[in-house]
Amino acid sequence: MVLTAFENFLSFVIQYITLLFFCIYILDLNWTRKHYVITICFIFLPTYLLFSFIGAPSILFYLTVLSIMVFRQTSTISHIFHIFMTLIFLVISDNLSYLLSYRILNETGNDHFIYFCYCMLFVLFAAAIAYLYKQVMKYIIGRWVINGYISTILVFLSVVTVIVMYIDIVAIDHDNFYQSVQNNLMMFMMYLAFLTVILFVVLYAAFNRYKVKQREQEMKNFEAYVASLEQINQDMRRFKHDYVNILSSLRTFIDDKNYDGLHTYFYQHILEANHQEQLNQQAMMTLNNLKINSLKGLLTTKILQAQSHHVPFYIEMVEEVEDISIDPIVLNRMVGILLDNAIEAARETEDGEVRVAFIHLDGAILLVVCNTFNEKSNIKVHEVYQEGFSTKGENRGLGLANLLQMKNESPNVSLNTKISPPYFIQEIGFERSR
Amino acid sequence: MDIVICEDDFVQLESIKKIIENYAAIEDNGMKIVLATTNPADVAAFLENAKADCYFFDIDLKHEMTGIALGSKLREKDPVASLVYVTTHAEMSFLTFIYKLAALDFIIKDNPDGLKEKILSTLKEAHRRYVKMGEQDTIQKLQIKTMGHTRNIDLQSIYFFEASPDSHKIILHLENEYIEFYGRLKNYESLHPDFYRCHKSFIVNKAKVQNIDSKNRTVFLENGEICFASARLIKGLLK
Repeated sequence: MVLTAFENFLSFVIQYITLLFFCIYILDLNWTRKHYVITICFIFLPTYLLFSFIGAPSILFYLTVLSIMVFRQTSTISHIFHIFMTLIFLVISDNLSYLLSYRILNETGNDHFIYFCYCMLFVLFAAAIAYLYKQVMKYIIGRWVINGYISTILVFLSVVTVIVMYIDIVAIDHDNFYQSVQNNLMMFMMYLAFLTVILFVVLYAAFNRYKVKQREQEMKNFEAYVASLEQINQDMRRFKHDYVNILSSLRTFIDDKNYDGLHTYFYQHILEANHQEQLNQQAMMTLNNLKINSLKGLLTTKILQAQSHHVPFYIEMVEEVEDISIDPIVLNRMVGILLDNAIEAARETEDGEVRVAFIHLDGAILLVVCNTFNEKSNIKVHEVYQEGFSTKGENRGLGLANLLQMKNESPNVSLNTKISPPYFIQEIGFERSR
Repeated sequence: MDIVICEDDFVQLESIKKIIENYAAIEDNGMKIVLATTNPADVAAFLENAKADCYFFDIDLKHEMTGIALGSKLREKDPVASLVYVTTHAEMSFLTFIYKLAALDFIIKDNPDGLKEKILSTLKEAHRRYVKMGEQDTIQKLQIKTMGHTRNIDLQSIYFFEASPDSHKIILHLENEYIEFYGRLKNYESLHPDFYRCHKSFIVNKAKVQNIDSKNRTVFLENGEICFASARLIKGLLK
């Protein structure tokens, strides 16, 4: 196939633009005109210039700069992986479309027509793969949790793949171009199959590890629940023993007709001492109505956590809560995030408190988490949901973002948020499956 | 505004009554107590053929009918009247009753110093709602069902509708509240002349728009929030 200089140039433009849009599409990037201008000046042009010196590997420069740009914008390591995967897929569609157009249309002998078909096919393949890739990723991310170190492994794998691929490309024998493209594609497909297997093994192992960890956490929570029940039992026994003593000391005040002393003694020593303790006992007792063990454990931990920060924690569960139609692990994560945030915010105010209620309402179970917050911050609901928001500085506000993501993936869960001083109120509704 | 009080302790009943009567006499805004009783059966009989605008109930009434049962009875007859619980056990299930019975507030009587103040502030809130309800004919409302209960929302308190990333759901953005419910944006476009579908996923209330950045196609609202407009539909906002 003999190409004119213009067609050569056009190939670059098409490939560069396809690569860019592929990335923007699968990463859901929100790019403005400024970003595009920067891309053209600092990626497209230098890559094109570089090509005349080092040939095909110049694309590595493209990827590196793009990765840095995207990483600076989103701070997500896994995006680098997707960018490198994009290149791998584009090389596949490039080879595929070249082979197809060449094989089918070679008889026509019209190089320009073949070239035109090749371009069309290339873009078509790229679009189809991008769509499929995005769907698969959505599925995987929806079910598996991909955490920091796995992202790093993935990035490493994809970078190695791209390098291997380019060694392969550079090694192409130009005298026998068609044959080597075919070999190239074959070899690369095999490598990709191999990579896919490795990827799945890595992800699967990570997922299992995560599940085991989750189980362990649940066990720990449940143990805390049992331990706190024992503590309550002990307290009861102690109280039985104590109250005779308390009564007799009250008697001395009464016998002496020292009513002021009685007043002080009663309010300061008896009521105060018992209030906080009673409160938490009450909260623990309410948990009897909760029939979901993993959640029971979590709530216990949170009650104890609130207690250690001296934040009153009220739980209401007037009716029994038996089943909530959602994956228990997801439920635990969601409730955990809500309660952590609530306790955290309540700690920042003087008379902080957290109120939690499980309420049955016409076919739905409603969980209301209500906490006081620092009213001086004059905060707005939409600010709370901005990614990375936290009253405690950077890198701590991912909880709510995760909560939103989990909610979006569970069709029968809705979330309402309201700020009505002194309370910050979040209602999360679990509808019976629709 | 007609008021009903039901409190089993006669002394407390009198004290609440006095607080309200004094306030009504000073304000002279048409508040009056139409029934004050220690027996919930009297209230039940009253509800059969009459109606008040604000109810104060104790929860534990020393009667087979609790304040909660009385509250549900009231809600069957009148879903909008203000309902206030005066109780010693509020912390037991404060939120549950607010949600289940749409109670306006809880007044905890353990603390007699704060009692008067709290009754008065609640009374003011009830009166504010009462006055607002009178104007209701002129205020258009949107009725939605969210999490098993029905909510009526003033159209003019809506900032914008957003299609939830999880389809079938809409997130309603108010001044300082997000409410999520099942629905399709299409059905809310023509609710009010001020509502404008400015994007595939947004319907904005034009009355709440503060500023439009047509270059970045961003719409700034009065509460500092932003939503987006599409290239084609932004023209309708700029007019």
